[in-house]
Amino acid sequence: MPEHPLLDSLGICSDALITVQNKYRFGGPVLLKIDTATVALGKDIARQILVEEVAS
Amino acid sequence: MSSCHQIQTDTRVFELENKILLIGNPNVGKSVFFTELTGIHAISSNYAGTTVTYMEGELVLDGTNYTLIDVPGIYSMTASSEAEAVAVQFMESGAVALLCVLDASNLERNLRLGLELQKYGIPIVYALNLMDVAERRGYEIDVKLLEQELGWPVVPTVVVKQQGLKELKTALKSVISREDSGEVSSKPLNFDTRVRAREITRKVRKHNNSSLSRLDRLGSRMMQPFPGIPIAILVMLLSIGVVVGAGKALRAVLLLPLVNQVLVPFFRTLFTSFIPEGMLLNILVGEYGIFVISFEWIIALILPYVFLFYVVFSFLEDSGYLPRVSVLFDNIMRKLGVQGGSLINIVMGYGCAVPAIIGSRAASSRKERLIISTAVCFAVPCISQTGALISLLGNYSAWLLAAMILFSLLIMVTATLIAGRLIDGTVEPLIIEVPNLLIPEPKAYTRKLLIRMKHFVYDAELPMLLSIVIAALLKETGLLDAAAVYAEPIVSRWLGLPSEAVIALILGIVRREMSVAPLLALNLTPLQAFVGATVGLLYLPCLSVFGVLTKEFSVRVAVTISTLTIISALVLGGLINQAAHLFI
Repeated sequence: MPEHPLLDSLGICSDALITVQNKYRFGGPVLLKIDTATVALGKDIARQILVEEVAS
Repeated sequence: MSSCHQIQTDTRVFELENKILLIGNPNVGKSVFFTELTGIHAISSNYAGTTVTYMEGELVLDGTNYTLIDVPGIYSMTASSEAEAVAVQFMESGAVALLCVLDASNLERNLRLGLELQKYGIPIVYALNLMDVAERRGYEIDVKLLEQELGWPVVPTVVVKQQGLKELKTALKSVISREDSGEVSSKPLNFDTRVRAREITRKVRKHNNSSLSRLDRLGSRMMQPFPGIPIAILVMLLSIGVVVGAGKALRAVLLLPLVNQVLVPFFRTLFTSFIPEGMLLNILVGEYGIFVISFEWIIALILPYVFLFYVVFSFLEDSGYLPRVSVLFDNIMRKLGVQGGSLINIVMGYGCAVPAIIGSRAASSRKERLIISTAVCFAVPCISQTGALISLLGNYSAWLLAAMILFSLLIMVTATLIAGRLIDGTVEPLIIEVPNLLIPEPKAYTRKLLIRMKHFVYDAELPMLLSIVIAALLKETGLLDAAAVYAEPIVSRWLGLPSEAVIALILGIVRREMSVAPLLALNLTPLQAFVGATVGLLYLPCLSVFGVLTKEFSVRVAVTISTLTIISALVLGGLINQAAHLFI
């Protein structure tokens, strides 16, 4: 997990269940669904997050 | 628009007794509660970070006065951002009660903050807001059970429709007067807020598998590159079309006849009846008279565009559309050295640079704030200036206007890239919560429009009148002709403009549109108009912007940006003129 105070506050923390809704090309962000909230994360920080895929 | 924003935090506010803090996640409607409860208009929008500093107002409950404080939205109490630091300071300064606003459509995350607040031992009332959105999404929340779990009153509300406000006040009265608040808050406070928030959410929330509403579907479609990007371009063109088209129509049908046939003749007749012909009469109602150009410029030229810009912009803000554009264009903005969220501030700058620069506080790093401010000062004309530019260039052809728009974008890209290279520091990546797409509530929307127009009239009127008085005095006393002689080498030989155009350079220091408005009466050639527009666009934004740059950054920054804008305006304007003459 990259160190950024906002990530944890937005619910992006270890053991969180997150769905990727959309990816944007040309260095764009990823669009995530966390519980009911939609959050966009810039590519530079999103690529540092380690994820484990789970079946939906 | 500077006086409406409190910039410094006054320490006195921490010492106030009888404080009630309005606190919660960003974009849950705190400012709307503030407006409804105190009658003081706070600007609210549908995205995070509209309130970048606190606001205070009076709330009367059963004859007792309390100070209600609208704390900027925060996600946690870790004091990791400026807004959170302010919130922590308020919490530690003590309050008689907290009014914690929770977003019912986003319960778990909101509960984390709601629970964290309990650790301060201050009585709390929870407003469970946006109940309508939660229902639309098919969520059912057991309010009674939530109340039990939290140990404090929970009031369901839809604040934009004024639902639940009475119950909220009753609940506030009861927690404040409750002596033995120890009974409910005696629960252990050392729980893990994250775990507990998830636990409570699971217990109280039920999801009926309803299909997504039309609005939600549209909201998520707008975020896919296709059809999102075409939609964004369409929205942009439509916005420009409404502002330019309706503005021109308003001018032609209503404002120009009003000014030219009613107001100006009226004052001319009035003053001529008792003032003898001469300088004084000319200063009042001559060609450049105060009572002539103040109507021509302010009422007929600027006001219609200001009004229409805020009609469009406020709608976009309240609908929650702007953050979606930020996400779509983050990749382009990232290549320019900033992140997509800055786009909102830049769009705001097309209204007025002052709130855009203050609003950039929501951006995370100083470097990014400086880049945004530079871009806005160089290449984003405020709406008053846009109005003048439309009249100046639109008189010749729509193509000239289109060329100016493209040219300004080119300057913006260049300024952003250069600023990004030169300024030290880092730019944080985009982290943005995408709000629900909403249809703006007519009452809140109208109110916001009125506040903005009022602010414009209050804040812009004085500098505008000042520059008009200066203009009238310079022109009618003959001082202008003297100044024109000195400015001749720059204005005429280098820029190729008539020497009277020097007045635009003098007035442009006070107000941005005044660097363009005087050119309207000079019968310029299309080339001269384009050069004049370029100079006006790049020229020093205005005195208010200089002031806000000083306050938000430093005198050095303000002086640097101002000097660079003036130099680049004269250099680039001259180059265009000289280059054009090589070919013509």
